[in-house]
Amino acid sequence: MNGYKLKRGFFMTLRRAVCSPRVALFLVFLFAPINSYSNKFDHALFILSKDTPDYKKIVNLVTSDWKKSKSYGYMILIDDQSAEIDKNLKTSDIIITLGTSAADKILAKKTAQPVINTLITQSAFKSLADKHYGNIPKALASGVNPILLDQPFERRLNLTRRLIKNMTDVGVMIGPSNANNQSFYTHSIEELNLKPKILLIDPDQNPIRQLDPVIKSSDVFIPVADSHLINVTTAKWILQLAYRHRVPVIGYSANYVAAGALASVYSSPQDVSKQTAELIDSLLTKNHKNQMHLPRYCTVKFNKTVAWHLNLEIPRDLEKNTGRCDL
Amino acid sequence: MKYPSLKVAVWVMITYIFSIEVFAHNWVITEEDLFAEIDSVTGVTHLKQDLEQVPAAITIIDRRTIESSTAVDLVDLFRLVPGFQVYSVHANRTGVTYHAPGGEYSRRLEVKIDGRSVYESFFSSVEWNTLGVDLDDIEYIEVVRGSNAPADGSNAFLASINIVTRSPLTEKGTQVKFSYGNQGVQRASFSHVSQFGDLASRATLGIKNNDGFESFSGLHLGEDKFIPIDDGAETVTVRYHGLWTPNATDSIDIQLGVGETETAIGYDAYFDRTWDNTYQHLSWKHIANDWSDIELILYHNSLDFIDESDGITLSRLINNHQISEPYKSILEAEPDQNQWIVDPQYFQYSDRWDAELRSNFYKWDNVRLNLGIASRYDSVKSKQAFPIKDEISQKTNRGYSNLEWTANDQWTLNYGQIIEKPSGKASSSSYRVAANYQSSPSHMFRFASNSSYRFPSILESNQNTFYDYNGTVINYVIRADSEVNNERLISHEIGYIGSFPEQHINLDVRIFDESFSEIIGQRREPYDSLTQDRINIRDNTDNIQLKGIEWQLKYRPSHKLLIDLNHTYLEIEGNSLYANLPSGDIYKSHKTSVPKDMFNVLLNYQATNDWYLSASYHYKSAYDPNVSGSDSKLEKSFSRLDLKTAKRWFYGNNWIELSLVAQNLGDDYADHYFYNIFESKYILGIKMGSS
Repeated sequence: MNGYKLKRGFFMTLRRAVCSPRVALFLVFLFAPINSYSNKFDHALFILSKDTPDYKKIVNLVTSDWKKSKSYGYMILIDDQSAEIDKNLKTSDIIITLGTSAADKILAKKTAQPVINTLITQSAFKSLADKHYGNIPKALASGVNPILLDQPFERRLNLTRRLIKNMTDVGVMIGPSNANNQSFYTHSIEELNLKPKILLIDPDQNPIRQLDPVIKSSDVFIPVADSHLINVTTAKWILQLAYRHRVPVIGYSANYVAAGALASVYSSPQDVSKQTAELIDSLLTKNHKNQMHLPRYCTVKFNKTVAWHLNLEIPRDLEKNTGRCDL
Repeated sequence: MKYPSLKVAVWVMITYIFSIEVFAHNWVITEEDLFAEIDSVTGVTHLKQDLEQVPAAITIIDRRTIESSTAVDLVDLFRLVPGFQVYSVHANRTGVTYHAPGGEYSRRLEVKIDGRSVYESFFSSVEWNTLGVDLDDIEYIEVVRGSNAPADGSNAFLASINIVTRSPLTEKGTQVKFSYGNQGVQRASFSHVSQFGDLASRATLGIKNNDGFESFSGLHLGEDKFIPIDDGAETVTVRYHGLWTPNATDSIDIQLGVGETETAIGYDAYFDRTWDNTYQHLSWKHIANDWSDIELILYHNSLDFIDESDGITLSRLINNHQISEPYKSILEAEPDQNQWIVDPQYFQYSDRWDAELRSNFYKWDNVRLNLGIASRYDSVKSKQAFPIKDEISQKTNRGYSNLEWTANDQWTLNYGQIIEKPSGKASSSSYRVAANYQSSPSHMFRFASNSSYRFPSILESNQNTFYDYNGTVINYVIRADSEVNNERLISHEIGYIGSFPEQHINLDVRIFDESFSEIIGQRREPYDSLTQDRINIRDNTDNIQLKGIEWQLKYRPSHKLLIDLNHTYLEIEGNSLYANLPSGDIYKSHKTSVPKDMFNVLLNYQATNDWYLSASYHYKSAYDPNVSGSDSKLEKSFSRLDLKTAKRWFYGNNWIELSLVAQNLGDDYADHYFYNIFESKYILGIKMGSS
């Protein structure tokens, strides 16, 4: 009985450890299998979650120089074209999915070819890896290479530190999707000798009464992306309260900046496509390790009207589009 | 054609609201969550759209621009919008129009405050003085340049303005402001923001006075003229804005207001008018799920106005007017010579109830859809304008839809249509189609066409103003033709938006061709009575073709410097049926009825922390107001230079700001009419705030 308990406790601990993003990344690096694919491919298959210009734009950017400098062929399908996907899977040397829904379709098939999941968040990839492979390392070991869309929280903190001098209190709003990661955000802020003020927003309660005391007592406010509904329903109140208390908001998308955040660091289509193209080339090298790829590039965008309101000078070197992220 | 009953449509939409799941408890964040659009430009189609996606030209006057401007009044801001003309019928009756001639009552603009339509039912024009919106109350103004009837209805015939006031959440504490200037300018305002439980509140009190223009004395068209002017105004307004957000998906806005303005009416001859206005406005927004939202808007506007003059008694009529025999002898024989022919006081009111339910859908990958239904009840009362019926009302139902289809990476197509049905009249439908072509991230071209109708206002279709004695008409001032038709506009445009972030420049160009027909004006026809041989008739008298180009350029290299430029070039053709006489019809040309060129530049520089310097230059070429057919022709173009400086000091949680605005430095100019002389105006302001 004791042995059973011990065994169960060990596996629970192991499972928790493996599921932790940091430990998972470490394990992935440690045990990631060396790529054994052919170092040449002729045909790529792009599977899009949606038939919209946003998704197609990334494919266009990835393949823009294929015709000139490389002889790769490729095909674009939407994830609901099941028959077409099945037909073309076998003849494709590499599969690139764009978006969560397309990744779900392809990971379910457990193909033999290498798979790149792009336009996917860490949260979505973890969910799909758990669903189809049991956990992230197993998914990676099976030849899946996700390029994460969400910029690391540390980059937002670093951007904040370069923009706002003498700050001490950092307000962070997380939603139900991130409730389990509360300690991660707390530690990330404390590591920089700053004081975290974490708000776990309850969508069923008055958002203004929850947000106001946190924003009021913060030197900067950082909303963490959550579900669409949480993001949309809280953004307006965050921005208005931040305006009232003259507190800069550091967002996670271009839309947030357009709506009134001081700045955002995010992955633009150019950033995503550049890293995807590089990963495709990297897969052809013998020493490629399948792994979870943090976004290598980032775009930083500012709202000059908000900077004016806050009387903040934006460092010129920070404003850039599509480049290696030095945050 | 028969349309579905409004009640059924409302029932369907309400059932829909309560039948959808709000929070799907799925805690996985996807790429779509990261890309979630936050409320952006909504005024054109009511959909969330970027400037590159909207089917019309837009100018946003944001908080920074407002604070950087040299504006003293709300209407001054519209000089920052290409194509917009701001003019003074008198010092406290401002006209704002887009491209087309405005006239004494500029009747063809939809003007909204937080979505509440504020053009009044009587004249279909906006009484800017009664709005009670101070510059400090405004968060931003969204101006749709061009007809927006497919989304906003009939009165958005020329353009549409939505003034978004500051949310109770964006401020804190108390703010007091005093201004003092020449020309009798005295202003005071008080605002306070507070939180009562779950209700965030903002209340404002505003008082403002001015003496108006000086009387005119001088030469005009070679003649010595003296025109006594009495167009000062005193205004008091109280406004309340409450915001309640019971949870993340619902928000309820409540706005209430009351105001009184004492001013004058008329041009070149004045009598007293007192405006009393109240409004109640409620809007409820419910974000239903990831792909839809719904909004219910209810409001009531009430505007009473009392006109007071010396009146005209029978004896005064006989002595001061030429009356032919035998009528003169009959009137002189009347024993009561003091009876009123024109009363010394007329009470009039204009009342509006409006209910609108609209929903946006973002469910489909490339398509965004907006649906709306609304009903409006207007009633007006005026013994002067409608002596027989006294009170007239009109119910108008409308249903609209706007659709955006992103065809591919480069093309976005928009289609919008509205069907409006006034009680007792045939329905009409306005529509707009637009194709936006994004050739690169920096360049967007828009090709759009618009077909719009405007219903005659209650006054335009029902006015019947006359003065009588024992049933005998002594003076027939004006009547509406029995068959006044809808006004019609067909327009085509090519727009361009250039965004050059490296150079910190945004450029917006609109090339347009607008054809107006059946425009309602006044014609004259023979009429035989005691005192007159002609009568004025409201009818479809004008046809106008407008062509031109307008552009705006915004240069904002840093938070210290702002430069906004705009220019409009207009060519107008067309004519107005002035009179139907036995000798033949007489037409007046519209050739000079609008200024050919308008130019505005605004420059703002933040010299040191909290010290601002602004300068603006405005040029308007000569035009003929062409309203009365009198000798009001304006022969000279004018330009004006305004300067402003402001400095703010902070003391803990308190701040104080001193400002000085100088409008029209240099020579005086005539504003709209030759006798409205705009002299240099200096206004010293002090603002204090505490949180």
